[in-house]
Amino acid sequence: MGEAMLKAEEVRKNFGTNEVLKGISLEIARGEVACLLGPSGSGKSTFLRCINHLEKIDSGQMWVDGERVGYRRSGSKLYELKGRETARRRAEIGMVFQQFNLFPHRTALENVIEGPVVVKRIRRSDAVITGHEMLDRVGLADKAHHYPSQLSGGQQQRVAIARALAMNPSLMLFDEPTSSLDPELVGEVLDVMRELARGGMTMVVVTHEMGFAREVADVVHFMADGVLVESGDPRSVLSNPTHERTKNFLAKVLG
Amino acid sequence: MPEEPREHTEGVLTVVPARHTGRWVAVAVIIVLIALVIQTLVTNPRFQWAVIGEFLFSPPILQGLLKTLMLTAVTMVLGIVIGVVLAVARLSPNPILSGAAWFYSWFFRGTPLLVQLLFWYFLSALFPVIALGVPFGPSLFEVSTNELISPLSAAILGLALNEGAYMGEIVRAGLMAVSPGQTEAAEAIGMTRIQVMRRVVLPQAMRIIIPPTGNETIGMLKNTSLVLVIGYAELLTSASLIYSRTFQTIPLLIVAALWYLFVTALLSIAQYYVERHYGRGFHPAVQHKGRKRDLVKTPEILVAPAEILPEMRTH
Repeated sequence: MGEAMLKAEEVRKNFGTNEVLKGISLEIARGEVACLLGPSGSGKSTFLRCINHLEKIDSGQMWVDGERVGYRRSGSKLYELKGRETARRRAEIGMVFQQFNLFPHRTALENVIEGPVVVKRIRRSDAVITGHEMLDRVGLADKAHHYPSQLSGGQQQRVAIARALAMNPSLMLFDEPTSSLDPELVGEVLDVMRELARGGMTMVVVTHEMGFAREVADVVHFMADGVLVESGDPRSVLSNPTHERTKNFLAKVLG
Repeated sequence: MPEEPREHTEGVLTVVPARHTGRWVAVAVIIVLIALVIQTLVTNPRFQWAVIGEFLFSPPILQGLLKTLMLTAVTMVLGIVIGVVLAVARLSPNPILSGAAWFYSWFFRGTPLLVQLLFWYFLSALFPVIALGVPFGPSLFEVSTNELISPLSAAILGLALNEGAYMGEIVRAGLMAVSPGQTEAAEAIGMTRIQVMRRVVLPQAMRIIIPPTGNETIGMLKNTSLVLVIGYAELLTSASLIYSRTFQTIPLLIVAALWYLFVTALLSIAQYYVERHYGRGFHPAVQHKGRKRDLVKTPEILVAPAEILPEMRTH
């Protein structure tokens, strides 16, 4: 598998008769920040959810950090993984959702330490110390004991990032992390993500923030109708797209 | 009425609250009704308040009350356990499990509780011996049904199995009310299905589950009186045993009713506190506190600069 943190080969996914992913192949290197761009319905969120097996792929193969997603190979057979094994692998991958999905019955700190305490079985007192560090990293040291309902959207999303980081993941997935935020709150979340990228985290980001992609991404992948249309350096793809689909999309987004 | 002159706006203005004439009418009607009730309670000798006073704290009534409370508690606990199992089975992707759960609730909600109680009580007429073994093969364990089925065990079986069917629907509604995003977020940090259910989904579902469960508990308190038909000496049965001897039917029914009302009041108070507990995090106006042991542990590391980022990375 070489250096690739993520490798996908001919990944296909159907919802009923609707083919959402029509054979996606790509590689994401360790420490790389990759942005998935494309119109809604292009399959980019579905692809992201396949990476941590929230969606099961229908054909093709995928590896994260050298481990096959969802299956174990033995000889010429692929055995589907049981829930416990899938859970163990998911613990290595952080995910941030469009709707934050914080646990509303737990405070910011409790949200952050939930994974370390329940999944990694770290002592609660130790997890609390790391939890405070994580909240400080996202600039919310003073909100540790607030419930999600007492936080703004931007603050909730930053807590969600801290919750993912607390598991010490080797790969972070972002599913349109700023799409449900008020415009003035987008910046604070992107700042945290920028900082994370600077720290060398491998990130796969589904986003509509072209500015962020241009500035932070090492590679952008443009998807449309379940197909990977073009990939490359963000400056060249965003400034000089070669495909008609990319040109049309960028013309609409950048106005 | 003419427009008010502009010059009146100078100086302090007095606010006259709106008059609620309707409320005063309602108050008058209610006072009259209360007076009528009090009058009949005081003047109608057939209430036999002396008899009520005599039996309210009498040993057979108190023992009956204790049995009612025990029966309510045991059957509700069993009913909730059955309900959670049914709800989880019903929502599981396994079609056999969900089908079985559907059949259970159809069967137990589809027959009268009274019939179910009598059925369990007279189970020996159908199965004189209960045996555990291989179908059509040898049996490993045998017991006479009459030894197993007493008025108490028939009451518990009948009430709990029936309650389970209703609780199953209540729990299912609660589980379905929790957004799927919660499950995904919990799975994404590596929780197993059981951890997701126990740590994330059930605690949130409780908010939805508690009010109807309070309802069910209060309902069960009174439904236990149905075991009168199989002769288990709970509160109503105890009262009926006395009035069948003394013919003081009305006063003894009032004795039982007073106890049911009193316990219902206690249960309503308990429900308020349970609801408040599971509502935490859902009322932004209320300032909540995290766990005390977390509060004392705000460490100095808070001053750590963002530069620690590179070291925090995985290997």
